[in-house]
Amino acid sequence: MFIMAGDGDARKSGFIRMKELKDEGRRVVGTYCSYTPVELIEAAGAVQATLCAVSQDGVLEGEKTLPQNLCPMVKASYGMAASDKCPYFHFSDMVVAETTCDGKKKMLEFLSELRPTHVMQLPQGLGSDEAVNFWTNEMHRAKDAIERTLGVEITEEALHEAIRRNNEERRDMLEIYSVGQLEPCPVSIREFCEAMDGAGFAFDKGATVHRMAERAREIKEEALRNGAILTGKGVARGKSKKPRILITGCPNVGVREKILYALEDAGASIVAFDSCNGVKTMREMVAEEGDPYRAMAEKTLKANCSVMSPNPGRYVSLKEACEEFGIDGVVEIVLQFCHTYAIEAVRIGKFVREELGLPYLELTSDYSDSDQAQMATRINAFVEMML
Amino acid sequence: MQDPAYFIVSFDRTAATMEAERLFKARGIDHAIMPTPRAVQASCGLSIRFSPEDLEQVKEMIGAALEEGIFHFYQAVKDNGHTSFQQM
Ligand code: SF4
Ligand code: SF4
Repeated sequence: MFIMAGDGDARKSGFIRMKELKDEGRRVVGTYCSYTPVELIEAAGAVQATLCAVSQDGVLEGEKTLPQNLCPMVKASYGMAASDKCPYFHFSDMVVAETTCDGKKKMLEFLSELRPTHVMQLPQGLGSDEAVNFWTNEMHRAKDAIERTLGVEITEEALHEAIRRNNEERRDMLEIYSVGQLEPCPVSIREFCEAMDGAGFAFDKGATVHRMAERAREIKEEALRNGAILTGKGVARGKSKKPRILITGCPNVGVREKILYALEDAGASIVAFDSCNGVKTMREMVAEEGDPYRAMAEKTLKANCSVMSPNPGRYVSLKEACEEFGIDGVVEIVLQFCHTYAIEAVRIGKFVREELGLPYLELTSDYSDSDQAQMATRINAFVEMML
Repeated sequence: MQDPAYFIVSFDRTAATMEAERLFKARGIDHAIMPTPRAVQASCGLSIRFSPEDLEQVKEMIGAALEEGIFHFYQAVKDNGHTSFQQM
């Protein structure tokens, strides 16, 4: 009901579109993370491509060079690139990436041997003006690097337009995510993930997302007419047909089948993401007034990622999301060997149980199939407890 | 009734796909780049599709230019509207 783009294999059809754009002479910039100022890339007239880091294939390729005890995202990012299996990487003229966690920043040293890679130095902690000043300066350095590598000029005007357009896209995304506020939620996680892929890999992304937002509005109206309610502050919890789950933690695309789909197969309903593919990164807009570089810095620093220490914003955003989406239980996904999320999970778990009064499940996994049965057992037990 | 609809050649590396595309173009053989079908390979990748009458020529051309093991030929068979792929 939600799908509009293609045949459900959007990532693959995206390759073809990407190649056409390359043949037309467009430049492509590969990115990995929520800290990347996508506005700069758009203002440079380039196409932004989110690079592949989600397959077990990539992990095995990565392990040919990198140590085995690294997070699967880091291994797969490098593996897909080095083995030339990711067409998005192949077509990228340059990569813009950040010194987030130790694994990623050291991996980038290898990646830079394959493609011009501009590494943005991320501050380690927030809360001081110094961090924002430093990161603002990194925005300027990124601008220079993109201009130099692609041989283009990024004008203030183009940058303002890119900021305005991306904010619009964020508002549309929020509209799409708000379908999850419906009880019962009319969109399954499979449909939702496919729709998100359709949007993510469409190269007229803004227009695609806008159409999806309109469809989301229709879905909401229809559901409300048919007796669904909208969750939110003050709406009684625990009355849901299926336990309403919020997903938090590491990026989860690589463990979709094993964890996300398994949760719904066990009888739960995933209604919200407080991870990098969720409301968390969409809520904050880039200020359209004032210095655009500072505005991009201030916005991206609010990613509430565990690589920051301390990371107080994550607790605030988690609490808000649990209230807004009428959450019955929180599932945290930690990718194996991701130290920052694994450590933070200890406090997040305590916070969810004690402050929010909700059941919490932490699942540590990787992209292989080896722990599928074990995951299913833990997921089933968790969902049954809430039924 | 089975009928060989078309053939594809899939590649393990993107650079190999690009090289093969250049050869198809140079020889004027009808072709289309397509994502490798999920039934053939679950992860990312590109393939080139071509007609049955060009099979011998394409095999010879790809075999001469590219390293063994990085390309694979499949026959697409349409059966009651459903397409399946058989490795050759
Ligand atoms: S979890 Fe952190 S490091 Fe990973 S993509 Fe999100 S912001 Fe970037
Ligand atoms: S999941 Fe953790 S270890 Fe992996 S790239 Fe993200 S922050 Fe780094």
